Amino acid sequence: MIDIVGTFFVILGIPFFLSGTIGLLRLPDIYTRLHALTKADNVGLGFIILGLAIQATSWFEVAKLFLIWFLVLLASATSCHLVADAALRHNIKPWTKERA
Amino acid sequence: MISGSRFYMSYHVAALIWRFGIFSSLWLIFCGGKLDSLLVGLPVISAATWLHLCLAEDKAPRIRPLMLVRFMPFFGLRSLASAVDVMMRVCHPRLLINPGLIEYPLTIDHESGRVLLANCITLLPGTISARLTQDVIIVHTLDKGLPVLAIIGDLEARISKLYAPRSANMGGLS
Amino acid sequence: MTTLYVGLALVLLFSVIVGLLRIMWGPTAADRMMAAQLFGTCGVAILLLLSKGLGQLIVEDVALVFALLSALATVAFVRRTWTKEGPRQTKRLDHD
Repeated sequence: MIDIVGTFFVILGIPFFLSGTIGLLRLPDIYTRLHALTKADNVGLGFIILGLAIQATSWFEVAKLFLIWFLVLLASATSCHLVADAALRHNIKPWTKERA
Repeated sequence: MISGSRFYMSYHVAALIWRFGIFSSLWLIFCGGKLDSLLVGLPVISAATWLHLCLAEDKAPRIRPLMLVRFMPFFGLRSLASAVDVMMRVCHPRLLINPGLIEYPLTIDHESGRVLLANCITLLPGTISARLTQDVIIVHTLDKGLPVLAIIGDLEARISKLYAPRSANMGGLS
Repeated sequence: MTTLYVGLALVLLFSVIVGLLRIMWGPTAADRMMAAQLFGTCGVAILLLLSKGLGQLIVEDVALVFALLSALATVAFVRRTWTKEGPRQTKRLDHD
């Protein structure tokens, strides 16, 4: 039973990763692509980690899994901010509906 | 004066115990809870605690752990909403986006809170933080139709509640 | 169970490979840099799935190291490679 619930959450995470990649390909500029990549992938990883944590054999493993998630959240939020900031400094104009 | 210095001591003892506790838990997580690993671990944990105390700024505001726990479900649900939001926009045949840049004037007055706010903005629906300065944050939004300023205002209020009021924890240190 | 988890890891690997198209298309250096972020998150997920699928708990530690290091690539890129001052600084160092 626990395995089924866990596997369900793991599978639930996959579409988020796929939509992140679709966004990376379809969206028109660097800023919008950052949205897709950062948000979708983090939640996808969150579901996978939740699913694996449900099936974990010890509390230490659960803690390690959530530590990994926290680190990835921190890393991608920071990366996203740094890339957006650098893009602004390079005067890359955001794509807008009006100009398209 | 005497009570002041005693407060100063207890503040530092509390800081020491907190850091030691956090580094010990990290060590045990890495080692999968094997207690005999503490033979190597204890010196490392002590060194990390000492180093962290040396590097810590006295003026850094303190986080209230209980408020942090209350913040987590809010954060989790909102970031789930943001991922679903992005997914819908990206998979829609006409790509439902109307992006733009928005400036938000900050009221949080400490670095730690500003950075936390910027990171939360990035993970919440429709917005990423693109630049952070002393008093303003530039946000890129996927949809200019969203009430971005109101959303960030609400988030900022929640984040400033995570920190203990400055006058309360700085009393003995000045 | 093993097949399922390894299969899911392969799906994610496929997603990363499709994401590599963005590196080819660019058009800016930052677009290419985003692939590092993609690798960071997807890589951690793939490693965790493989760890579960193959029953090798040690692979989780590799994922942990991935998570720790993934921000560094972007920081290095933004601070060193993609700054306007960057190339000039190196030139000045060369002349010294």
